[in-house]
Order: sequence, then structure tokens, then C-alpha cells
Amino acid sequence: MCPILITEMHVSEAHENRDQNASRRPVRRLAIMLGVLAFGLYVGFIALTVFQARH
Amino acid sequence: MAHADTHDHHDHDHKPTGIGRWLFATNHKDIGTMYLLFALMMFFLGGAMALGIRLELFKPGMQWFDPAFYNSLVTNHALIMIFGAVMPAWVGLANWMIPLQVGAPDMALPRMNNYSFWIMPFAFTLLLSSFFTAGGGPAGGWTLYPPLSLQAGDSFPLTIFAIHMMGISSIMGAINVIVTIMNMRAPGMTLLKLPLFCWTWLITAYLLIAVMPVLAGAVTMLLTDHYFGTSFFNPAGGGDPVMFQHIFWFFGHPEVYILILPAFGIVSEIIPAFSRKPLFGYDAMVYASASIAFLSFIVWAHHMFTVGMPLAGQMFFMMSTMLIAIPTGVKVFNWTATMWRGSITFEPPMLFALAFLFLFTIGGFSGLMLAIAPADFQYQDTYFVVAHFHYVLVPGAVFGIMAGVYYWLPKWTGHMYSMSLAKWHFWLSTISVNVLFFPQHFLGLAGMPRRIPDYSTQFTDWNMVSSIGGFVFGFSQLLFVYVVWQCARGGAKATDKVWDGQMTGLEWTVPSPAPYHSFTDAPDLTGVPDSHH
Repeated sequence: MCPILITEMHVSEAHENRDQNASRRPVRRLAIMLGVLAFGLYVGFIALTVFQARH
Repeated sequence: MAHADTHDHHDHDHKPTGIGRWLFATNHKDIGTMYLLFALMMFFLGGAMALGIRLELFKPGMQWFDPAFYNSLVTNHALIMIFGAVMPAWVGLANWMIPLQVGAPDMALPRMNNYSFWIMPFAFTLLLSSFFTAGGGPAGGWTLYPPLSLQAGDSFPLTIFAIHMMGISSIMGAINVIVTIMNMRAPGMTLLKLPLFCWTWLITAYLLIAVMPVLAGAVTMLLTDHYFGTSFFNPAGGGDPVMFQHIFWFFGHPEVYILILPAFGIVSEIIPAFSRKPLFGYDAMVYASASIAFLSFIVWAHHMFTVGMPLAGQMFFMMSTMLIAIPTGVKVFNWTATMWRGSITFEPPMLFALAFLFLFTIGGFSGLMLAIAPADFQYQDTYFVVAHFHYVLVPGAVFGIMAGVYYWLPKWTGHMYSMSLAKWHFWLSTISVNVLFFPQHFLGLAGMPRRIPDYSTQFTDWNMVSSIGGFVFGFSQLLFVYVVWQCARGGAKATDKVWDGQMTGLEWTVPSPAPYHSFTDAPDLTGVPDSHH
């Protein structure tokens, strides 16, 4: 597990309580998806510029 | 949302002590406070640079600085105010308020939240240290257009890496906001029950994730052009400098909305509270914010009409830019309609929100003038543009931040602040900001170019007026610091509800000051009537 994405459930009692709450959906999956999207845009825009320069 | 569970805060207020509380902070309130203090410091640093600029422009001729240093002041003033003051202030307010407003115990990813903040001081140390390199600080403008920016000295890589770090910080902060709002809402809090500050921040966060990587890509390509022999933007190697402008403004225009959308959210909370009426057209406000965000992606080339583009391109970007006036007009109409027949009182947050409403609209109207392609050929690179975007960003974004701080400060500190001093701060700021920026419209229409340390003598009078306004505005902000400092140290005890208004957010159900750990048990809003509709 990437340490950046570990939530502080063990640090804060608040999160321990929260973890038992059925309404709390997975936070890590969405965070990772958004991070991949951001990195993809970074690489994608550079690739797009290369493509534009070559045509 | 007037009802929520009450919270026993006595058992959970175990604060870490010493420097470790701040270095290893994972508590959203501590991180929010650090962001806000950092933003305040950067506001004064960027403000000092602005005063340097106004000092030099007080009269024609070279007075204080050599032109290269003046250009550095202009460039760093912009970079510091945008990335160091306004954006971190919004992230600070988001950290403090979003968990409180959605009924969550903290941000979804508290440790990443810590990284997001602590990257910032290093990024700005890097940027500012570039002043001490051979050739001085970055001086090509915050837009970093090549080939000018590629002619910089040793400051260049420091600036590029600083921008990368700011971007990483912003993206991590945005991920945290999205995940908190999407996954950490209290049971029963549907999306259309969210306070508008959360809604506008949610949209802002998506904008950040969409465009910060684009800026990062653009500056990475500048770096490889400078040091690794590529020719992305170098015509001699088959590249195109105008391509940089397209990529930059594809980031740059949504960035404008990143700076202003959270202010829309705050104003949408303050006006109903002090008008004692529900917000007029809550759903329309949400859809208008989303429309503005969408349109922000298809208007970028209005910043560069004069580089030369096909007529169809000019028409498209002119029309699409004008379309933004529709959702923005919906917002201005709804704020006005909210006040209609309300029992309005004029506490400092409401004063700042009202000034925002009037003065941001002036910035919006001059934006429409600039959107007209044939007229823009006259306005391009004049002080009219400077007047326009400062109206949007100072009495727009900065007044929005001030309104938010004055609104929630008693909730943070547990004390009321001095209403009379805050009103003094408001009137001094509002009068002086107009003295500062309104004459710049006249200067621009008369042909005074931007980003120059010297000017023809016919521009002298209005420049003097503008500089006087600038100094009054700058020093007035010391009053703001004093009001906040005094409120943090003590004062009349704030009630849980703080204001005698119609506040509907969950933040008003926790005690004042907000306990270190709030909403340890999620409030259940299932079946609670929706106060927005």
C-alpha cells in the first residue's frame, strides 16, 4: 500500500469510528484514479505537442 | 440542515504539542490554519512587490529600480499572488470548512494533505531564491512565453521546478477535496444538499486536476527546449512559439475560474445568511458553476487574438467567451434576488460579499469588452487588461477570501472580532481598491502599455492616483492582520451559531471554537428537510 494513500484511521479515533460507518465508501480507489488521470494529462499533452510538431 | 447531532468534544480534544503538531499535522483544522497563514505571508510578500511596482510608476522616468529588476517584480508579483496567496488561501478555507460542512471527521487523505501543504514553502523558497542567481529572478512575465522566457539566466530551472512543485501540491489538494466530498459526506447528505462552497470547490478541484498537468507539461517542454536540445517552441528546429501560448492558456483560462469559483460559493452562503432568506435558485447556481467550468475549456484563445488566427477561430473564441456571461449573469441575478425583500444586515462578511457583487461585475463587464475580437486588438497588452483582471482578482477573489475569513473566523477562534475595526478595514479597502484600479481603465484606453517601468508624460496623473490608491490599499491590509490577531487572542465569546442570520450549514452545529476533532460520529441527515429548496 502506498504510504501516501493510507488514511489516518489509526491516528485519529475519529477515523476509526468513521471506518465502521457503512456509508463510507472506498476513498483510495477514487484518489488513485484521479492521480492517474492527472499524470495521464501531463504525459498526454506533451505527446500531443510532439504529434502537432511532427505534422 | 438546521438539525444535526450534537457532539461531545471534550473527550476528543487531544492535540499534539510542540513543533511536531505542525510538521506532522494530519488534522484538517491545523493544516487549514497553516495554509491560511502561508497565504497571508505570501499576500504581503506579493503585495510588497506590487507596492514596488506602484512606487516606480508614481511618476514617469526611472526612479527606483533598473528595468530588469522591475520585470522580475512584475513576474514574481503575479506568480506569488496566484500560486502563493489566492490558491493556498482557498485550499486553507477548503481544509477548514469542507469536512465541517459535509459532516466528516477530517479530509479523506490526511497524510497526503500534510504533503500538499509542506511542498508549498519549499516551492516558494526555490522561486524566491532565484532572485539571487546570476541574471536575477524570472522576468519574462508569469505567462513564461518563449522565446523571452528561454533567455532567462540561472533563475529559469528554479522557476520551472517551483512551478512543478506548486502543481503537484495543487493536484494532491484537489484529489483530497474531491474524495472528501464524494466519499465522506454524512449519511443523508445528497449532492444537492451540499453547501455551495463545497459545490464550487468540487468543481474547482476537477478544474485543477484537468489543467495543472497541462501547465506542468508546458513548462517541462520549456525546460527541455532550454537544456536538452528539443525544439517544441523553437522555429529554428521546427517548433512553434505560438503553440506554447495555446497550451499555456488552455491551463490559464480555467485557472482564472479556479481562483474565482470558490468565491462564488462563499458569497452564495453569506448573502442568504445575512438576508435571512434561502438562496434564490440553488440548483441554478450549481448548474451555472458547472457551465462556467465547462466553458472555461473552450475560450482560451481570447487571450491571444493578436497572434493571428483564422477569422473562424476569432469568431468561435469571441462567441464562446461571451457565452460565459450567461451563467455568470444567472449567479448575479440569483444573489440579487436572494437579497430582494430580505431582512438585510451589514456585518463585515456581508459587506465584503456585497462589494464582491458590485466590483466583480465591473471586472466581468470589462471582460466582455475584451472578448470582442476587433476591440481587443486595441486593448491587447494595455493597462485596460491590467485593470480588468485586477478587478476580477482583488475585489473578486481576494474580497471573497476576506468575506469567508470574516464569516468563519469566530467559528475557528471561539471569539468575536472587533466589528468596527473590520468595517474600517472594509471601507478603506473598498474605496482604495477602486482608486487603485479604476484609473487603469483610462490609462489603458489612452494607450499605456502594461509591463513597463517608464511611460509617456500624458499618463502621469492617473498613475499618481493609482499609486496613492495602491499604498492605501496595501497598508489597510495591516488592519486585517490586527483584527485576526486580536480575535485569535481573545474577545467576546462567540456562540455556536455565531451570527444572527439564517445559516444552514453543519459547521454551525459544532461548538465555537470548533473542537479539534469534530463529527467523530457522523451526523445523520436522512429525512432532514433540505433547506436549500
